Amino acid sequence: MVKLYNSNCYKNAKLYVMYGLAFLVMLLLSYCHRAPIRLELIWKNNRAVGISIPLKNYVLDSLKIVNVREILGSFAEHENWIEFKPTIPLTAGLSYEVWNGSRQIGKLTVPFPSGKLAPKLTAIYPERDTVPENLLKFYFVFSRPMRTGEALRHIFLIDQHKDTLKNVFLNVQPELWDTAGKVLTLWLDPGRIKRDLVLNKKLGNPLIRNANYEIKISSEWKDRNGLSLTKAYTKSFVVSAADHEMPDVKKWSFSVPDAGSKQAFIIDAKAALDHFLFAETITILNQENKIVEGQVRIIKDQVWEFIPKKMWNSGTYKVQVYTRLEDLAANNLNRVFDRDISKEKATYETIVVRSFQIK
Amino acid sequence: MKKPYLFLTAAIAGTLLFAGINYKPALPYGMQMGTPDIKSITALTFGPTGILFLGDSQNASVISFDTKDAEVNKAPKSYDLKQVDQKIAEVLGTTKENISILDMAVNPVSKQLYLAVKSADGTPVLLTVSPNNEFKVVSLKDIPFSSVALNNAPAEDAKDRRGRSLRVSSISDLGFAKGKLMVSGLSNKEFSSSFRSISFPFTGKQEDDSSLEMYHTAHGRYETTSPVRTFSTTTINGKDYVIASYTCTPLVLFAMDEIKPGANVKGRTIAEMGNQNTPTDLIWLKEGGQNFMVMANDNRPAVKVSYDEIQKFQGNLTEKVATTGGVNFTALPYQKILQLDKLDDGRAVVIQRKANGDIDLWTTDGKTI
Repeated sequence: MVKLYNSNCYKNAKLYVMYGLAFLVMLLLSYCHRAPIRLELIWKNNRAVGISIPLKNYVLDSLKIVNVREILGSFAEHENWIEFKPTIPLTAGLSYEVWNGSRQIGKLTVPFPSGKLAPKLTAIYPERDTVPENLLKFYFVFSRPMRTGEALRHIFLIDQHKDTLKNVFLNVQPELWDTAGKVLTLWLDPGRIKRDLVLNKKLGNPLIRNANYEIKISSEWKDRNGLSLTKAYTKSFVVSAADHEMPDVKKWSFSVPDAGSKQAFIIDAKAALDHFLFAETITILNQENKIVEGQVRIIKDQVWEFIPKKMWNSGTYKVQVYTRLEDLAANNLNRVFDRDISKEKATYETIVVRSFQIK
Repeated sequence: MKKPYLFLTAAIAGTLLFAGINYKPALPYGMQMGTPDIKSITALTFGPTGILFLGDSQNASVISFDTKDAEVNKAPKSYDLKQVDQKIAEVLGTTKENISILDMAVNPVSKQLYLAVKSADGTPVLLTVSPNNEFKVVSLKDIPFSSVALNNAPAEDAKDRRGRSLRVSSISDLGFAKGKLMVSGLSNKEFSSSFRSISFPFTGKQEDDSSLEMYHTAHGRYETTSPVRTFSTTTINGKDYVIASYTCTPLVLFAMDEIKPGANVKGRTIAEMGNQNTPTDLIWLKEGGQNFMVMANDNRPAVKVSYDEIQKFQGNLTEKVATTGGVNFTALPYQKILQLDKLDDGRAVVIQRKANGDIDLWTTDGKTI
């Protein structure tokens, strides 16, 4: 038994361990010196939607992509490369490592998109600089789809004393965006505008008659690709008396083009209306009750300009107006926004029609 | 074995063997296999066993799909994950500024927690979280689903019979009760309220789909259309009610049997909620054998109201002279609750923005609300 532990045997074992360790170090070094593999980002609509990994003879299950920790996504096998599809696009400025088992085989950083594509604020509606005290909403139009859910961190209403007003806009989540993510609708708090509500009595209207205001949009607001607005934007306006009257189609004046021309047919609504509803609730019908196609342009919230695709014929045309058309205080053609049921009556027409003659 | 028997046995074996090959079990609730077109997930609610409704505000549609997550869990574990937004961002490979949690729902059967998350670029993600804080992406590809378009009316011409278009651009809340999916919506253009009650399974038939507009009258004088922010259902004296919170602060009850196509429903206001009250969720919980409605607010403390109070309060704050100040509320010591759902009779799962700005996921202790 004692012989088994003789010093020779022990010496050999030590040697074997030394050789073994040296081999392991060499092996590790050889791996470390292996040229890193070439990873590439896959782009779609300026978003990094994948990583292309040029690998063969791999075990898919052993691959993982790590940022702070392994990220959720899926791998797809192509002929001589593997595609990693993250659950959401990879984030500009962050680095991602590709691991094969316990070995990191590459790393890449997602670059920021070109500043040339930075978003702009292209319009704020109402366009005019005088608005009624009971104005209900603003529209903000951007050149690119913006990040949603954070509008109230970037839009401020400032009074003439340069104080930023609190609690003037209603925080609606999810926010009201058009389907393209470029037009935001922001309501001034209806609870403060609706006459006689507790809020209205306690805090009063968000806007005060004859006061001047500025609406500011911070340049920190980013679009969906992570680029900030090119600059901060400001719009100044003054507040006039509250509007508790329904828009009246009978008061509209028309300027009628000549037959055989492609001149504009123009409606002057005599009062400011909701920009988008004004554009989409009016149609022109010809004598056969068919829609006349053409281009609509709204000028200063009040003028509806229509340029037909084809020339006008002489005869009677109809202007068909959907009653959901609202003015700046959300009074529509059927009822005022906050109807005094003891005085005003609501009607339930769908359409109001007027006609004009082309000679 | 004799030859005829051998053939018979072979035939039976063959039939049994191949019977399974072409056999496709019918999908429940008229669903089809496929990949729904989902642009956003802004609201979640569970329907019958394992069926999850996804509200897609961007597409103005609701998708129902079978999660197959239907194993009964009678002793659900608590959820507790600090900085849940940070953790979600990490598993998605981004930072917390780049994600938002839009809704949360507990599967009432399996007690699994589902989260609707949106990345900064708008990509919708449906995640589950386990009580051990493991996240999984719920794939929405090749799933059994059905959907309903909320603006299926051809743009201008289809309206309810009183001539209002009830178009939705944003789903403010979803609910499911008594075989009906209820959807409250807001429009990004006209100031209107849209509340729809749609029979499930979706039939596409008009009589199974009621849209209505809701009005709110202040002191018997001023009447306005009133979009709903969040709602829940309850039964009072044997009658089913929707209890809803409007954008302009009041808490309103209206009878479910009044929800008929084209109806003009005026809710009975049972409380005025005060300044900048932005309710996020309404649920029902039990405490000491009593039922309470718990309403979470994203800016103010959550409140609870006892069911008995609601049942007893027969007044209507919309009358000229309000009988009282409405039902009594008890403010709860929880501020800024972003998401709230029921885990079991006594416990709620909460996502809360803490004073230091952290967003934590936690579960109430079941002893007090």
